[in-house]
Amino acid sequence: MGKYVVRRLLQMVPILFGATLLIFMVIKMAPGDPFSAMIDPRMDPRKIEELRRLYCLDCPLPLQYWNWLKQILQGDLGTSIRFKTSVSTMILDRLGPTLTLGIASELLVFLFGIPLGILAAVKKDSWLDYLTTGLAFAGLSIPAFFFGLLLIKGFALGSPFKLLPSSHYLTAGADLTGVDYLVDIGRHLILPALALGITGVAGLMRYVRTSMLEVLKQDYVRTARAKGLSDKVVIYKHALRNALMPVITILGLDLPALVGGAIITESIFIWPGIGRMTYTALLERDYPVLMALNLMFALLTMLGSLLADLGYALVDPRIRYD
Amino acid sequence: MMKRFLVGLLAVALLAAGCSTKSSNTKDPDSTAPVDGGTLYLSMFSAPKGVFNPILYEDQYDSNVIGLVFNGLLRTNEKLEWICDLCKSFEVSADNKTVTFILRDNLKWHDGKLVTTKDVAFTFMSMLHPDYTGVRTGDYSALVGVEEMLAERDQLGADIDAKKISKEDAAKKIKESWDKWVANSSKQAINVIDDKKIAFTTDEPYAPFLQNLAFSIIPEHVFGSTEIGKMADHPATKTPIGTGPYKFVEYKTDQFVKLERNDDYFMGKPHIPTVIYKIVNQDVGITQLQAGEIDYMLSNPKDIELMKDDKNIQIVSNPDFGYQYMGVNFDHPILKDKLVRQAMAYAIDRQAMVKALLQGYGTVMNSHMPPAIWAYDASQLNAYAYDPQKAQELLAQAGWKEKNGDGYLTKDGKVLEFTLLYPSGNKVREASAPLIQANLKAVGIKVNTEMKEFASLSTTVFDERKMDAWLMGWSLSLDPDPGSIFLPDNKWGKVTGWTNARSEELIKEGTRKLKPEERKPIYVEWAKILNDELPYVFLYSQNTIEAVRSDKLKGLKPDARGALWNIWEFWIPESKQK
Amino acid sequence: MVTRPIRPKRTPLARPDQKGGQSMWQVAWNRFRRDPKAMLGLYVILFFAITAILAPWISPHDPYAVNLAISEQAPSAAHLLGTDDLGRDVLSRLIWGGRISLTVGVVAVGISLTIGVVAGSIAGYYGGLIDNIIMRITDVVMVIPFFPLALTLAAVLKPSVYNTMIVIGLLGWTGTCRLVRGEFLTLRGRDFVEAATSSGASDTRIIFRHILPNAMAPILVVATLGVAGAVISEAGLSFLGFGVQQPIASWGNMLSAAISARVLALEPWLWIPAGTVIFISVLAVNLLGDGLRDALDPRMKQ
Repeated sequence: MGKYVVRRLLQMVPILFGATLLIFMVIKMAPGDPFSAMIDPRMDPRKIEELRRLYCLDCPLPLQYWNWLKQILQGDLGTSIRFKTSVSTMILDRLGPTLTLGIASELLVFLFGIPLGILAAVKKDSWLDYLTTGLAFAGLSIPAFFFGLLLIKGFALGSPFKLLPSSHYLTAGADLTGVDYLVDIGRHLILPALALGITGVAGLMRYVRTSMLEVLKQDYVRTARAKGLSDKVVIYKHALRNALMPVITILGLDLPALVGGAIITESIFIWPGIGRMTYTALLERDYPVLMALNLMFALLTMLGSLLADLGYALVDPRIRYD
Repeated sequence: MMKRFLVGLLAVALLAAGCSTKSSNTKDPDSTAPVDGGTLYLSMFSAPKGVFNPILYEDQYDSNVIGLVFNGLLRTNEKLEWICDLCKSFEVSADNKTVTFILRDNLKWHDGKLVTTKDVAFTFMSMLHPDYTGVRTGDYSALVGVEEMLAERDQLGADIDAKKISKEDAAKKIKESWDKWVANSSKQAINVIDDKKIAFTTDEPYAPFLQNLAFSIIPEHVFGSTEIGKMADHPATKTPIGTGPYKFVEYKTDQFVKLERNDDYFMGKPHIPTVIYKIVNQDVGITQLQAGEIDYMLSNPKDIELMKDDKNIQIVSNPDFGYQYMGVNFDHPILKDKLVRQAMAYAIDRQAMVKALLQGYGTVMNSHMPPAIWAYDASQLNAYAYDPQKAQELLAQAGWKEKNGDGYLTKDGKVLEFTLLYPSGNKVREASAPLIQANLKAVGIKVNTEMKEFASLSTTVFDERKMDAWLMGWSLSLDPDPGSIFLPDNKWGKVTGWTNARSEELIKEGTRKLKPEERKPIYVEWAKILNDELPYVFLYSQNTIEAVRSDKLKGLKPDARGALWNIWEFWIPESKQK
Repeated sequence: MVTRPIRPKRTPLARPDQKGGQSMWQVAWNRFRRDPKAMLGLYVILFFAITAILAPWISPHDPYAVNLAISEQAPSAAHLLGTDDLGRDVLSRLIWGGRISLTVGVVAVGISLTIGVVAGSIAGYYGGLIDNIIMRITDVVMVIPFFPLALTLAAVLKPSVYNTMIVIGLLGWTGTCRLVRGEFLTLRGRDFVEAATSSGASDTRIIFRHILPNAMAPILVVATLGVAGAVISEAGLSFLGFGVQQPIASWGNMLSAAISARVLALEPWLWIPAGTVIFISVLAVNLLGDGLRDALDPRMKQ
């Protein structure tokens, strides 16, 4: 097992290298640089040329990549050209809200996706099955930005209810502490988590339903039933365990999304997270920020899939890695 | 922590201000006396970068905050003329080359230290320093000896690119030229006479200089010991210390900026203790205003319809310092023909654009000066009123007579055709592209539109010049000098490829005179050249529209400066303080 | 959110061996036909497809004809779904937009399918070093999240119909590649492949004539669901300003252009139709894909 993990970790190195090289090339292919969007007659074109030289933006591409690589190997993510602050600080500043939203939406996915999926499978072809399946399909079929705005319109602004805040992570200037602080975050979380989680809930629900139906047809479940065990015991003790195993994979695969944030949801709900930062950095060609973010995404994706595989082995004794 | 300060400060400030605007104690006739308390929620559409340092920031969103925290030597009055802000008086010498400022008495930084001319000198010296990482150096090139130094820097930069000199050697030489300037000219250029008195001298009279000197002043006692190149890392760049009506408290990343009043503010202690600048979603911001979550936002013409019946909301609309245009590349064989450009100006229904896309909140542009600038005078310009007939005549005159099967004009077998690039991001501009396409199609011009993301477009146009025509806007400042945009020797000016000797002469002449009444005729003549030559097909200038919760916010005196200029006089009735 | 892919089922799908009287496709069709959800999906998609194909003949107005005199008018007899900010007929744009949106969906999936199938087949068939190289490349593309890479690519290629297809297609092939490789790994050892090999058939022939047809079922399902994902992705890209560009209409850019407080409050004809067609078409494709999966997997139905 240990050897397996080490081997997997070692495998990551070339992939990370490849991924950063690929993203570097793609970013550099995009016309423009951090200064090209500054269309302001009062900004000094000569000074801008100086700064381009300072940041080595006109240097040959291999040299630029090499400089970046050297910096990374020294454990330095670099400094944002437009934010004028260290990239690691920028990421840390936004990690909290992004994780909060990511975890909340993931919780939503699991809290609703699994039970509804089981219910739909157990009560196959009942109205409950049709209802949940219908909702799941609806959830999979709506563009995220559209759903987000409908949520804002329906539950926050312009609605007679005005139940929930429409944006931000905290009430601006309220200076809450303790429980009030947590409640405040919670209230702000509901709509964006829903907007972000809806596709996941739908996807997982469909997934659990299918995999549950399959397990219920397996021989051992039939045997258990034949032995006269009650439906409940069969379903929850035998079938569920097996049906849920693949769910671990999903959790692992979702890890990068959890940290990567969601560009659209964060934009709509003015959520102060990684996704919006990514978008801004993209529009402004803030190369150090983009490279650091993509490195982080790539690393997390691979760690996530490793964790998924390990978790799988943990619950399924038949799987052995060596 | 906050010092309760001299009771009479307000009075002193008012007396001292020979240049102050109307006294600040006139009140709305139908309102009661101002009371203190409450929180003012302002809004912006995008998150600031957190670079709250006037000499380093690059984003308009950062400048919103900087505007409340800092002051410059000068500000504007309701006629948009320069008057004193940090200074109590200023004087221009007879030869028009020297401006001398005397600071107000007892000016304090937010940390309680006194503001002196050392701070003023430090601010401008920093922007000229070779290690400075901001983009504002060029504004001060008129100071004695500076242009020479900057030209040397530029040359060394070009030499680096041409591999004639190593980066290290160039850096050494740049440092030498800086030392030389500091030793020889800096005392003359920026002359600190005493703690209160400072004089700036230029090589030649240079009119826009007053505007450039109006720049926000930063504290020397905070930044002085830091290397200029590292100023961005200084904590005070993130948590600024200024002189303005509001002190910076905190920036919750990407959410809001919290400010508290400066009890010692020299124009008077603000009534509202807390100001919060919220970042709102542009698409739904208006609903937040109506719901009372924010008290102020920049609006757009279309959203006015939602507010027109709302008695709680006041709309403040002013002509803007910017305009939109369709630029043309003079290397393009068709577009370099003046008749074709004039025909396009007649063929594009710009009046309809203003009416439908801007709901009337705008002006059709026919030359470079936007209506907010005092040099604007449309009366002598050809209005190019929508006239497809006339457009077709002009095109025929230019030799475009035959129509091909698709209805497009041809000459010598070539179709009258070009590609129009436009950037994504501005909804009105995005909508104007298909309109232009349709309008020009009607007179036989084939336009292929191509949308590009902003940074890509600006590279294609301004760096590579690989375009036929493009849509873009300028956002200008108070001084009418169009040199940075229309002198062909600089980056923006050379993009069209249009040159005109008389235009260059007039632009240069316009900066040598200082009095607006002397400059205006020059700019009127210049505007006429542009109006005839049309290096751009000028489109429209959209008004700024500010929407304010007038039921909550009292003490507003909106004028040409907008709604927020006298924020320290705003107050919130007790019933609305919550 | 939209980035979260619809995960194909992990269990291997039915694999028809080449025997038996009724072909496997016939069996599947018979099963499919009895699934009302799937048939509904099919009919809806057919409806949209036919509308799109017939756009030039059935669209009541020119979708590009601007007329500021009639901008933002509510639905009327002349303009059944009203007009947009430039006075263009919303219904006509919706019909033409369907052409673009569905084409983007289908072509994008076509691109990702082609890359995925070719790469996956080669990797799975040859194995060894080639497999290793291809799978590492797949890993590299897979570890970069969709939107950051898509937006960067879109900036490189500039927003347009073709590039939207290319961007979505270029980023979507990895799943197919893995799936196809997996199928090939299992099928490679089967008797009929060995028989073909020993009869001296070329690699290309074995891959495309013998193995691939047997792997078609899961590929078809993934492709169908991929179309749904691509339509949603196009809308998301449009919302961020990187999708199909005006004046060309797509459902995605019509919806994202209509998103504002004012339109939501006062001009429902600008957002409800566009939102609804996206929703319904994606829903239909999902139903269709789901039905296909059930039909092609005999274990799912008794």
